Amino acid sequence: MTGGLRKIRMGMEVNRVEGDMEIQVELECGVVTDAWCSGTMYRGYEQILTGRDPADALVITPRICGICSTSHLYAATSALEMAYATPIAPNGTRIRNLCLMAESLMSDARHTFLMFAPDLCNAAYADHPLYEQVCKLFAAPFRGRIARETVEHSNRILQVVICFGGQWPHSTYMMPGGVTCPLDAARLRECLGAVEFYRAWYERSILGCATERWLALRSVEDFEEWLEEDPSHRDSAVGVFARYGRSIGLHKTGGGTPHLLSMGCYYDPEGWQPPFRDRLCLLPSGFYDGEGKRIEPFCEGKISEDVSHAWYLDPGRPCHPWDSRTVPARRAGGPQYSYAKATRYDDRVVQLGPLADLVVGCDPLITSLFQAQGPNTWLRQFARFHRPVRVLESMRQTVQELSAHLGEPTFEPCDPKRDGDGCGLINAARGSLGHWVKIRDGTIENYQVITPTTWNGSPRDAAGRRGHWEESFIGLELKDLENPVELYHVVRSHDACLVCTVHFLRPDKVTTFHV
Amino acid sequence: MNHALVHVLCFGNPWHGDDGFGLHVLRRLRDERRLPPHVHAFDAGTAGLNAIPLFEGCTKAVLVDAVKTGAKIGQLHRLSITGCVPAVDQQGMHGSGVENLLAALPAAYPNSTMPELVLIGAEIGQIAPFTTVLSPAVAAAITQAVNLVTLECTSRDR
Repeated sequence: MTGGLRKIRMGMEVNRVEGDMEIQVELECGVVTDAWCSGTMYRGYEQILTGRDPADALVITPRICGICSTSHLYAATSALEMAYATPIAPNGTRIRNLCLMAESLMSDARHTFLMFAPDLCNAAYADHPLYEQVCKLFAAPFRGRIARETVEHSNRILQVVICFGGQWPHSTYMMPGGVTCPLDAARLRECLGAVEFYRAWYERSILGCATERWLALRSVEDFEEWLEEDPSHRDSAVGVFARYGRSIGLHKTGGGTPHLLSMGCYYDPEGWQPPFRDRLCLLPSGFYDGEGKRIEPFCEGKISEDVSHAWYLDPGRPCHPWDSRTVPARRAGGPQYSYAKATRYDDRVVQLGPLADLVVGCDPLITSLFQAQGPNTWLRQFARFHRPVRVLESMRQTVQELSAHLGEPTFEPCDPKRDGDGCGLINAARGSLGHWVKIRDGTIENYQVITPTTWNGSPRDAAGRRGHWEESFIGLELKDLENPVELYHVVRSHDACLVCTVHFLRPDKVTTFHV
Repeated sequence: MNHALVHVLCFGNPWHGDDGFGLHVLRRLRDERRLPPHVHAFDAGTAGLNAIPLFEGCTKAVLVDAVKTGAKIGQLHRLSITGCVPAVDQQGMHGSGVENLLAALPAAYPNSTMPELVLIGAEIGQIAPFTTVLSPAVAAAITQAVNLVTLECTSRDR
């Protein structure tokens, strides 16, 4: 059924950091013609932190998210280090990187196989020739083979974080200057064991080939050849996803803004030291200009927050995070419709996530696919199949480096300063994450957190431009308004990791769909 | 006596009134220092699937949580959990409650013997948001719940 003009409201949990979000779309002849993303919950971490000892950020900010707590801890610690201009023990950076990589593996697997892939088993595709195979792999809850294996393996890889942090999530083992845990051979053996266990699973079930073979794929042509090369490739999780996803048109939906942003990730252990001028990262930062089709250097000063359509006190102009405030001011009427701010880069709407990270990082395979297809639902998700292979390689290298520096410290004593400004920018699983702190007289004067969801799910700005998610729905055709699975795919491809609920508003009833 | 390891996992949101029952029990257990050395008690909060590692290494897990079965508010339930727990099709990690956590356990530890699972639950009614205070009937159940948990942790037939 494809009705005429009618409104659909989708409610999903997100917010400035995490919580609730509603998406409202307008349809004409079953095609989305406009959309609004509304963050409906205010949590106020920024205000919780104001006036506190800066070290409190290391305990409080990891609680922002139960999936990305390592990312928040890393960003918060980096922000304080910049504010204090304190040196960092290279081994401390290596351990941080290793733990963040482990969290990335966990998140990519759980998102892909426990959240995105179950929608591929939607009854709308029951007649598809691959449907039965897809359900055997991905059916929820925990019915598909890959879904069950994901529970075990995503749990096991977190042992890397537990080795150093004592627990996951919400651990606080990073401090300005490094990490608080010692380094020893037993921990490294345990980490390497966890990495190899995960790699074996990834090769056996996800890729159907050795990681070395997969990493040899550098172009669209390489990938297509690989796909046809062996039944184990075609029938692997990525092989099935690739064939099935394209056959249902995922590569033609969810484009959104053409601009991509990645702030870089995994600081260079030796190079990332005061005065922190150049962003020396193992995964480089950059801005992909979707109009000029070129990658430009990333400049943190070009980030701004616009609250013209958000329920905050409006200074009347976009502000850099250091100067931004997060003072809620909900009021009826007016153009405001969200607790998410409209975050912009160089006054442009951008999208963040693994696709952006890998394109900006010049990954050969993803770049080739991106040049051929542009941003889309399929490629966004495909990037989450691909990224873990690279991360596994990086983890092995990092463990080797730590082994070579086994006797060296993991922590450099830090002398906290009474005043300072700092920002910590890293890539969480869903995209770049930033913490900005202003310290005055030994306490936090201002703290701002911008998550990838804030960027992707932003509302309109003062110029009336839609945020990325809003834009990604435009032109989407819904074949059955009773089962809008196309919307689910687009939303899920952005790793909105929370429970999503779709409400169809009609004059006579409200129907709720859990996605 | 050589006790096998017992884990006490207390669930709930401490900011949502009666939903935080499990954490009130945990606080009392810790305050009264009644748990013997072979028992480890954890704040499992609203961890969902993230609580999977808390089952590692124990032969018995005692779960403490708020439940809704339609019984009288404040009534305590003891439920021995055997066999596979059916999962709820929520498809979201933040929506995964204790049912999905238990359903995921066999997948998380496919080559391990499952620990004995016992749930001590307090019947609750409407959840009052943004308060740390329990309703009188649920608060009155804490002492008995602490006794039951202690009994589970020290009983010889574990």
